[in-house]
Amino acid sequence: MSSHREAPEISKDPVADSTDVYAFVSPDRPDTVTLIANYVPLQAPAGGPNFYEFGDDVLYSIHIDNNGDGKADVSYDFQFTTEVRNPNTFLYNTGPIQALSSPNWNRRQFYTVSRSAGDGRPRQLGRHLPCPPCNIGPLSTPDYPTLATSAIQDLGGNRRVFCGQRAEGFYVDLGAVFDLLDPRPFADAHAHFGLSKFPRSGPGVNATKNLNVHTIALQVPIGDLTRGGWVGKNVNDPRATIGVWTTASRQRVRMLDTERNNTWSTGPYRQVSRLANPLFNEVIVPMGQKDFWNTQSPDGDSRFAKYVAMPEVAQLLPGLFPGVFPNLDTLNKSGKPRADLLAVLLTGIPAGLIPGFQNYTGNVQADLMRLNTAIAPSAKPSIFGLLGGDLAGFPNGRRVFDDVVAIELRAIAGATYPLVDKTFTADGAAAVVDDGVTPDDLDVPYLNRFPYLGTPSDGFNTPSA
Amino acid sequence: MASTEQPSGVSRRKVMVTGAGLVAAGAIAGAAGGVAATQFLGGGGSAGAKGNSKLPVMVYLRDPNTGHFDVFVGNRKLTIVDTNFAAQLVKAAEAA
Repeated sequence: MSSHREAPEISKDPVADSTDVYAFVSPDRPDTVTLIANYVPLQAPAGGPNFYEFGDDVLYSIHIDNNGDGKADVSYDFQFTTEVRNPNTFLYNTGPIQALSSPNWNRRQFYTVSRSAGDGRPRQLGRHLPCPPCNIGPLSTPDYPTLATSAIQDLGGNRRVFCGQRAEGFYVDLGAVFDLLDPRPFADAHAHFGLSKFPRSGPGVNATKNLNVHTIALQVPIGDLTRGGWVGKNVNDPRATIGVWTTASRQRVRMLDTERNNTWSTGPYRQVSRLANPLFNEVIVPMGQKDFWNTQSPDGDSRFAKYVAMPEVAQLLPGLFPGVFPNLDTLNKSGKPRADLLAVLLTGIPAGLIPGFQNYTGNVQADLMRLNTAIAPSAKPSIFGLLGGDLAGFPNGRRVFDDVVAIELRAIAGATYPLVDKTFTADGAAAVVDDGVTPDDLDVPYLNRFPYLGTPSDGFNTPSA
Repeated sequence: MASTEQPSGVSRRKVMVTGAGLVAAGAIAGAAGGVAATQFLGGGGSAGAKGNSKLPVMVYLRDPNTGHFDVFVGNRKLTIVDTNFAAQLVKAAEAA
């Protein structure tokens, strides 16, 4: 998936597992940037009575590098506290929840958000801010959209924040991807390892349909994030581009104190999860390095550059699809590093390669979600982002609807290599290969306003998602 | 816990404070290090032995041979060196 359960250790720690990061100039408030970090993957909506929540013992952070060194210049930290009204019932709620203050809601979660910049000292932006409950069903949460909207907090100065459950916005055919990279629309071209019973071509199946996630969403003025508070229209100004990533951290020691019937944590926070570009740790970093990658800062990502320069998926495609990727096969065998992918994922795309675009942050190789804030939101967005001619889409930041699976699969297949080598002709399949899933395969629509991810599916109506 | 079993030990220990913003280049011997440690541990020279600290303290014997202890408290980590105490712990562990 994008980054759901992408590494062995974090797959066992869902509340700290970052699943997706989005960063985009807000289409309805283009003087702001929206940052979204999702956690707690693959939530079945009926998963009670202990419904999903953030970890009280996890430090969630969204970081921004605005000077190209791969280190955080601005960080937003989120910490959660769960409050139980009545410990003598097993119920999450004892009646309809029609307001965030409802006495019927037994297990509530609140959070503090703070910002660090410059001197590194955190400044609290809000405290004891309420999350909405999970969407349980028509009796428990009869007007969920209104309830969730009431949890959007105004932080002042054109800033707002939301933390709570949302519909999963990422779409992918996991079943096909992980069945030895056999996207259903192209199954007839797959080698199938000589097995006689193999799938026939067909439409993709969205594995995240009707699932929910937990979202941390923040909308702030562009100048809160850029170097020196820069705001402008000059796409080529180096101050225009920011690099975004998220982390989740846990304190180093956890004690299961049976004598006191208590569990507590202590010690410095240690990063256990991070995410910027989708699929980076998932399909670029090899198994033996994934847990380590999750603990590292982006400024040290040059150690992972060799996996970007020779991505495993690119090596596999010609063999899995015989005769379909001959030019990619030749490129692979040439041993040339994939300078296109190194740029897209680790340094940003320099000026001059794509007319009217750059999101280059310098020579420091760092996995960052790079967003050129001078590029206005697109009036006619393409889910294929830059590959679809839409400069406001991935990998210029990432919007909730961008088809990052298709974009990255096509890039790895060679579609972007001509940007750095005009003599290379990408295989025809590189322009069309994908998993056959689009936003139309999500039952829940995106919102056209903050927090942009749709209303989570409720457990009553989607009991077996 | 180390602090309760050796109530007067902190000021005699070599203490290296490695918490955020308080990184020392090497071991700090004597009173200065002891003061820093007791402040973090919440005790008045007894490293929390009086039980008035609200922060739980966790001590980890990192290296029995050198007597290096990691002390976790709040969001900080201290390193304490005490070969005698390490030896006592090892002895107790072997007898357990």
